[in-house]
Amino acid sequence: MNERKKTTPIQFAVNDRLDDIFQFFEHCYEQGWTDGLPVYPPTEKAVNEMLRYTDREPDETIAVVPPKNGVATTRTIAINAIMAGCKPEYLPVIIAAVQAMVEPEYNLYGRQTTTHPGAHLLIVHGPIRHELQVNCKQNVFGEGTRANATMGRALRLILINIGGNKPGITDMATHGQPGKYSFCMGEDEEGSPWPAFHVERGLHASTSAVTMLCAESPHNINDQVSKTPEMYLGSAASTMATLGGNGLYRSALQGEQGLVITAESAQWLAEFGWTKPKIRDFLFLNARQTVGQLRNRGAWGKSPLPDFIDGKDDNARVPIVNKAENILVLVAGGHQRHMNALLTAGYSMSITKALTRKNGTPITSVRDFLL
Amino acid sequence: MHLERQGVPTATFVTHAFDRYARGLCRMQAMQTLPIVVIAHPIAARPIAQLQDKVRGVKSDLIQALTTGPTPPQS
Repeated sequence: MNERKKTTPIQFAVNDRLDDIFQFFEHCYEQGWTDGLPVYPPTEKAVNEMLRYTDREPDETIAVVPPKNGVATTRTIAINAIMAGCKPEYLPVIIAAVQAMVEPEYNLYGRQTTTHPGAHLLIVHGPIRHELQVNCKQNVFGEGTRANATMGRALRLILINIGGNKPGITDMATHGQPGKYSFCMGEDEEGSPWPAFHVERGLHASTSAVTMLCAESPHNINDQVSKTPEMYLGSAASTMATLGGNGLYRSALQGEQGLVITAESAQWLAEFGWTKPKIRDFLFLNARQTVGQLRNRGAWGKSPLPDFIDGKDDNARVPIVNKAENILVLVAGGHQRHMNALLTAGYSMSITKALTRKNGTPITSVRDFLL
Repeated sequence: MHLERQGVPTATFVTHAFDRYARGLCRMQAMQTLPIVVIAHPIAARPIAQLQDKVRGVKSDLIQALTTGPTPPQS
């Protein structure tokens, strides 16, 4: 599975004329090297400028990307990042994200080739969010922020051009989803009353990091009226325990489901004494459906039920994950009390990686590489 | 693929909608001669009798796949 495939470098000369840039895109599209949108030419100058933001050698292997088992080197990652429109200083984030995706628990091979509409959500943590101007607030999953738009897109181009992701050929997503173009957010750590996600994962708050989570399109939960945390999060639980979701049928497996709440809602919940662990516990207990409701529908029978559920009891209530810790709670978004469920296939675990030098030392800034 | 690499004969069923996909993955994983048995799409939520008919229709392919020697590793 980890065998390296030799590739022949391809060089495409591009002059500085705009017509050549159009021709470049047409050529790339015909070759299947794009996501369907125009791409920037990765000129030698652009690549060299981006490679200044790492201490890794240009031809160093960063990852082997399935299903093609293409070798992602520092240089080929940079090439795809430039094509996506990334600024040079985004490279450390992209490298860490690629490293996260190829961890075995992420199950990238399965995620690249599934019929499920999971896309690779890049979550950015720590001071780098401000340095790169990653959007953590208003319209966090939407358009308008270069860092979010292009870093998420860079990962998709890497999966296409290095990993061999081709719709209908290796990528059998029945419908796919728009997040497959780009899916990137930052956590609103400053707006949250609780420890940041990467701190929960054992990193220091001042360490910049990324988390990769393979998730469906965010599903909005619009509860502006509930006056208690129980009712409010009950709305979330109802949305997360959807009969058509994978979670209920896969909860015996190692999988996660996520919820994004705004800083406004987080502060309100904290006023009642709620914490992220309490939210997770509540959702674990309440985002459930009965065995009777699940029987013979959805993905019934394809995975065992959790061992703490009596499958013969139609009234037994099945959770969406096998333990509360596998419900991820993130704070992000703008004003008002919308929440968003990040539902997953249930076959993949999120991976968090610190942004570091090659020797493992966390960076304090992308400019560390310029010193 | 894992089982074949360990010397266990297998027969991988795919519907014709996934035939090119399966063979593409086999090529990428250097298992071009992995035995694949193709049946008509769709199969999800079909009556048991219909599924049994589809399998009967590929019985000889299934037997050949399971009685052929394990696919050797390929470069």
